[in-house]
Amino acid sequence: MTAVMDGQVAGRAETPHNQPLVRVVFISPTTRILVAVVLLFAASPILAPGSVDHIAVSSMLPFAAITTIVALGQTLTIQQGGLDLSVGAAISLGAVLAARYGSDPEMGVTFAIVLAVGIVSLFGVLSGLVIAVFGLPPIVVTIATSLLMVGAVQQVSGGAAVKGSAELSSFALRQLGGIPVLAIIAIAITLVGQMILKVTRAGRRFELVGENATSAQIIGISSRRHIISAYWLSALLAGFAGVLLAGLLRSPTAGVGDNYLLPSVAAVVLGGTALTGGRGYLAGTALAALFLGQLNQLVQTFTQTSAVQNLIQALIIGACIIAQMELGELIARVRGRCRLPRIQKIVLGVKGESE
Amino acid sequence: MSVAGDSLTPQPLLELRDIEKTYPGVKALAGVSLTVLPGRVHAVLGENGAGKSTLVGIAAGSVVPSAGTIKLDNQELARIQPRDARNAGLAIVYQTPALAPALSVVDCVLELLPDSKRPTRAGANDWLTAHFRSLGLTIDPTALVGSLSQREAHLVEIAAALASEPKILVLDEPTEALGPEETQWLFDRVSDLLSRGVGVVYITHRIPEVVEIGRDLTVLRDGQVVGRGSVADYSADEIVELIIGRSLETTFPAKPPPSVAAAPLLSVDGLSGLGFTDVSFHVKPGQIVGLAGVEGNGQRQFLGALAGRGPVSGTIAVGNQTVDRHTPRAAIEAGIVFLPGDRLGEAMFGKMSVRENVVAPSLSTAMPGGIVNKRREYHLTREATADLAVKTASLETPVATLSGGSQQKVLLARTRLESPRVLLVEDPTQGVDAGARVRIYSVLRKFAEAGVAVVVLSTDAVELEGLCDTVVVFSRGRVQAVLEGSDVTERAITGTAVMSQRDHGADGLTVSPRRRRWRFAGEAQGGVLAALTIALAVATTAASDSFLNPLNVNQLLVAASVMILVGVAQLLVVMTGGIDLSVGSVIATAGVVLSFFADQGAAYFIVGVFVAVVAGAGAGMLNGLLVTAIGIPSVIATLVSSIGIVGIAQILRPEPTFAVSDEVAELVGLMILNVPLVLVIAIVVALVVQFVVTRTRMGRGLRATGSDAVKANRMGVNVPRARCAALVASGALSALAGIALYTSTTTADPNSGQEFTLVSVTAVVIAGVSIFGGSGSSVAVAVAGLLLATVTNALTFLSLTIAWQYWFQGIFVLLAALIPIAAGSVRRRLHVRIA
Repeated sequence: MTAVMDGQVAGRAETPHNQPLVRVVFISPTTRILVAVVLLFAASPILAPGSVDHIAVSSMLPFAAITTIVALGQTLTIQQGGLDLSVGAAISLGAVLAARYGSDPEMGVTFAIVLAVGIVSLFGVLSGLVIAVFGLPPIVVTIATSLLMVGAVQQVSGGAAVKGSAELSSFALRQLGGIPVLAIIAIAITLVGQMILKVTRAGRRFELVGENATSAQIIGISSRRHIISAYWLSALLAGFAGVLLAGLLRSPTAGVGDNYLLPSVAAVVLGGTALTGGRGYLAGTALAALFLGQLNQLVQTFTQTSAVQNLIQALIIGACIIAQMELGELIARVRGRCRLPRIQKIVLGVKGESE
Repeated sequence: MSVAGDSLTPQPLLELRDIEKTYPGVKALAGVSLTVLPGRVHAVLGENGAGKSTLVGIAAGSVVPSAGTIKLDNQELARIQPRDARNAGLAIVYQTPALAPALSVVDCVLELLPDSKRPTRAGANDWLTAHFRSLGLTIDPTALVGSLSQREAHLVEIAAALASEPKILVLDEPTEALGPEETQWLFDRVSDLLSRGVGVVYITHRIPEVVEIGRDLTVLRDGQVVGRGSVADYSADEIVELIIGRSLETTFPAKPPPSVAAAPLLSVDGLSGLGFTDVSFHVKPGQIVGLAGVEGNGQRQFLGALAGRGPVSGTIAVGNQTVDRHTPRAAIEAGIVFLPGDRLGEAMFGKMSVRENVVAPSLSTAMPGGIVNKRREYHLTREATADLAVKTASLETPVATLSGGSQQKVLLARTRLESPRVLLVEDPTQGVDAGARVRIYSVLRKFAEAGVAVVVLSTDAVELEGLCDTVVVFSRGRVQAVLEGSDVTERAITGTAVMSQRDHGADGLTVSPRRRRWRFAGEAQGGVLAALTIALAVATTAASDSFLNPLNVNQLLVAASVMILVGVAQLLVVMTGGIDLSVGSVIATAGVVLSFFADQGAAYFIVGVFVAVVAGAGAGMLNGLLVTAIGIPSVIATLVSSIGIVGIAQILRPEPTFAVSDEVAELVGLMILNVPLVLVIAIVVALVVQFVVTRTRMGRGLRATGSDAVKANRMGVNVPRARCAALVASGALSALAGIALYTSTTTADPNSGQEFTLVSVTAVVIAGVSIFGGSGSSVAVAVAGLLLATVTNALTFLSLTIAWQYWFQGIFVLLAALIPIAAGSVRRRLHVRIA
């Protein structure tokens, strides 16, 4: 039963606008991750009593919020068929800059935050420019900017932990109505991003460029501008996440962002955005970040050894990525939808291998 | 013409039975059978997209059939691998040569030969030169395939097919890119093969060629056999009607009488660009003008240039208004709309819906306030597709799932919303079924009737004859002839195009590539890096004598050996078009594993080295399986596995552990002629890898895979196996790097090693390895490793902070990656200016 065989003729009254709403909701990748989140929270108290009480959740949420903010930026670059491997360094740089200058009374916290986010986002613009103008593979370019940022982190921090500002810290640890303020910030950014992406002309253009930059160019949409803005926003959000992390941890170390690269990519994939680019699911990314946060929490209640945590996390993330990829394909096949080549354009310029 | 097997009923060489092939949304072949007999030419005919190439692709193993059986060499199979098909005596020459661009001619030919016919690598150049000479060709075996023209690549592929002494030779539109002399040359070779009992499958849409050499014929239309039998039983006209499926009159809309008065709407004067020179060209409103010519004569580039692609000189004007900037956007603003022939690749948004595709160029109309209004979008979509009969389940169906014809209709619908003044269409009916063609022709005519200037590029002369008022024939980038009115006939179009190829033939069957691969190109970059290293060493020594202190030099060289090994590891993966982000974790793990063997005797330590390398290869195998069996991109797969691998290392040695016995310390401190043992090992590894990559079949497979995976698969390379092998080798070599690191620190630290992931990528990029895959010199990578180690080591002597180590690397990477691209762009611009 392919779309063509039972298809009708567009333009005539009988062609439906869309499939029935139930089916649309059922096949959406965001639904899948939502179900996964609900199941995980339902199973948590059974697996580990106390893992969903107020204290546990409100200690987990701020970190999930930071993962969310980074992963939202990562969604934008992956949507453009790329990848930002520099988010770890961007977080670290945002964190050490905010800590270093936020604790300087002459600068003031607000100025330090603006400075940190501004400097980090410049590196994003650099990545975007090189990728969009010269067509270099995003992996290589973001590794290079990552090196530049790691250098800057070393220069600012001297390789040691930087003592941050108390003001920033008290803000980051605040709760509003029992909800950590970082979670509120993350939700707000997600909603705004989702709105812009899905209901504005700018968002539509962004998705078109991500789906096929050449086609977009030919109909007069500037691909470069959109690609540059993706990397700019990714670095900006990662830098901002770093600022918040500096508040949360008080004294961020030089490598504080390193642990966020994998979760940021995993959240995008689990959230349903295809690695080949195109449609982006920001809400899915945010839900996936929440999923990963709670999963981490659960693993921690079972083992305190960070080695085992690492191993289990890698296993689970790997399994989830495979599941999300295979499930999407399975549903596509069942529905007689196209089975797009799995590896269409891997970021290093690899072409699809099957005919 | 045929000699063997005429009297007896000959045993078929190849039998395809009830072949089916379904692509997303399209049934490319349904119940097609084909029998190839020895000593005969079997012509397979049909329009573009009728399924001819898919059918022979199935026989050659490059396309996997959905159903049916392939009987080749007395073996009945459901599918066949390209390499097995070649070994069974089937040689194929593809329509677009399937030669990986990063390989040399000799590499490609070797890969294309069946195992039994392949000469040794050492004598291959001479053997191939002799083979070319025996065919009357002069081709340099060391030329890079990417620098050949399509015609030259075709000749190479034909020569390779002949060298494999096939039982069956499949030729897919071989004369498309050849001139008349070359065509005659090919036919002589074919009749030679026939006399030896070889079966030939010949795909073409040139009817005279069929009549000349064909014996049997099979005609395909929309994936089904609509006629078969003996060529002698049909007249040329009957064959054409079989192919098109109806008479020409009912297929094409009536042409209006030529209007004399109207001023041209599209005026092009003296336009030159990459591939075409000094083209002047005028289209009146209401006219359909066709662009024709043998493939590769500049007509495609010219059409693209009208749409704002690429730098050009000369003027393009729409009405009285000159298009000043040569960008797609300026073209659109002037009212020029371009529909590229590669629909999914360049024109559509495959995974997006019919609705989103139709309104994509008209977002200002669809969203006047900048806010999405789906009802308005649906309304516009229905309006635009009203009389087009687009077959789709709903307006939210992804366009990639529609048939080729419906996709083209969606593009035409979208063009309607744009109200163009000039419409450029490339290959409007490529891959479109016969029914949809008629509708597409009539829509194009309606655009013209509404006053649009329409330009159509097509490879099908029958189509141009039926559709166009005027046809412009290109040759060597110039306008060869302009055919008007009653001169627009298939015969005249093909005749003029082929005639003009004569000039081509004049220089004989010679292949003289414009840009030869310099044998030591990669090594030259290594030379530059070596010079940089020496300059840096001299400068550092000038700043501080203690840089040359033996202890420091020794430390530097050991560090260099780590970087060399990890760089070479990364090189192998990058060469296949992937990346390995787990090398740092493998380095850490190898050190950890080794530490369990380091506090006893030397023999025990050597066992540990072995175990560590096996562990590294195991990690590589895990990556390889994730990438090939499950299909996760290597960047994600290795990112995930690197965390898991570090987890294992941390469990084995939770804390950094110092472990070394006296005997082991003596062993690892060993020097050979004042050079640390590990450096000697690293250099040997780099040289071995260099040899494997450049001189062995496995190396060819790696390079072909990274250069173009689809072509590599057609050439018979096992692409998944090559990718997996590269990752396994990378794991093993990273483990060696971990061992080298351990010998200098004698400490197992599960958290060390991560920085080497970045170092490895840096080394590969600055060594001039193509980051798009396909080539690279491990010797250059080794020098890059030495340079990076020197930079790190020199920092303290130059009183620079550790930050500079990273800044240098980052800047190196950006410069090394940008310089070749910037140089290429300058070269292209110069080329246009000179032309």
